[in-house]
Amino acid sequence: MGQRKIALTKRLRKAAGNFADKSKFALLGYRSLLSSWTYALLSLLFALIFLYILTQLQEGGYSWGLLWSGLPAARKIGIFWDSWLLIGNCFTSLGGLSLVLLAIMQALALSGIIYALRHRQKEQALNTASTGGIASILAFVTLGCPTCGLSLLTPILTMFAGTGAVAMAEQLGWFLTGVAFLLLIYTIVQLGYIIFVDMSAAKTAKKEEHAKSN
Amino acid sequence: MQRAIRIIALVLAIGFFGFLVVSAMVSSNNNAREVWNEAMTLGDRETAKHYYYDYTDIMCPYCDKFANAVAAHQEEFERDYIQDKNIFFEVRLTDILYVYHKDEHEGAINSRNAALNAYCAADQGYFWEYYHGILAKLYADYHSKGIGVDQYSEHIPKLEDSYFRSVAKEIDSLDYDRYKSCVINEDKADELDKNTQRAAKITPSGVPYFVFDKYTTNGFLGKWDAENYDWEQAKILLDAGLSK
Repeated sequence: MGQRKIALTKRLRKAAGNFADKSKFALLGYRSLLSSWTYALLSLLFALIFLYILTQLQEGGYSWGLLWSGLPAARKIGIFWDSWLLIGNCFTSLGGLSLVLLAIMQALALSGIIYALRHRQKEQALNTASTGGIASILAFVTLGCPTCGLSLLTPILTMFAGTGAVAMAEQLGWFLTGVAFLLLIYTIVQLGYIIFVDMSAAKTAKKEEHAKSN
Repeated sequence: MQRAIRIIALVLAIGFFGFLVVSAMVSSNNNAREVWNEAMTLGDRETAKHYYYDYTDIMCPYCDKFANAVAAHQEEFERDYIQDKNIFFEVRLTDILYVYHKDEHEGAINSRNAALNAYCAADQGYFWEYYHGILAKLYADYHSKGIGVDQYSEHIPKLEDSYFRSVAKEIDSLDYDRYKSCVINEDKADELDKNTQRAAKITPSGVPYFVFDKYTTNGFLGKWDAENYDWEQAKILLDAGLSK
């Protein structure tokens, strides 16, 4: 029993060490990726779009509902503009900052997927993308205000738990947000590593080509 | 093959969640024209052209933002909307947050106590005076200090009975002894429970839930700025009901 425990601890330590090493390479990979202005701009754009979607879901899609109403077009333009301004509120609270972090992570994951897809790493990219996709769904459904029952998760849980759904949504929401963050970290590390390996290989190939031509 | 299964599973999961969310949010409002409590209404039900219902809970911060904005412009609201647009407006008061959170924190009881007090004031025809009074008090004591304003903030603690009764004391023509007896004996508990159960069926996504004619929505976008921003948002919501 004791030996099994020691073996398990050793394996866990080894896995943690490997993940830490991979994370370092992933950071280098993303640093190289974002030094390209195209990917930096793309990531910024994705982060803004994700943040917009997240803030809207946080408000229960309130502004989107108004855009589908019979209000005059001029007012709808104002509503649409105001809904973008909501992003600014994210920087005033801890909960809002967690949305910003979530949006940045989702944007990095998406940029990484695009890079991997464009550089013939389709198999690995799509496998990692599905993990990122699950993380994004979890992040999206946990949004809202469970205090008032306004959570995307609540109507789903209501089908199974009746009025207890709101309490459940609040507790489950925090748990799922945590899981979403962990899955996103995993996705980013995997993609960052793919990018690092691909970019290093490309650099080496270029060097060899250069040496041959000389 | 494995990849294809993964992608299909992902698409199905997204579709399933989307379907559940949309189907739960689009709920019918079969009993819309029935009055739940006459004292909580404004306008003429018989001749009205538009029927507006506000499902709410006094302890729900987003509900309070809307209610405070309307209360700050009550004259304008009654003139420009209730009279000019011929709207019948009803506040459908519940203690839904007590039902949702009673096992989580002791402050959840505030929702029930606030609603019972409001129903007892309504019993004597002083709902609006009580409703606006308690909302103003909660704003001054808690919401303006960032307490109980959203899911991330500190909960409002369990409030004493005297906290809720102090508002009624300010209403000059209210029979305070009759009101107090109504609250202590929970004379309106059955009515409140019935209305909360009905509301829970209509609005599974929580409160505030607005049924403004054919336009329905959950939530309210406010900044605790009843005078300006929140009133502008309230007007957009009120107009959305008129324009569909």
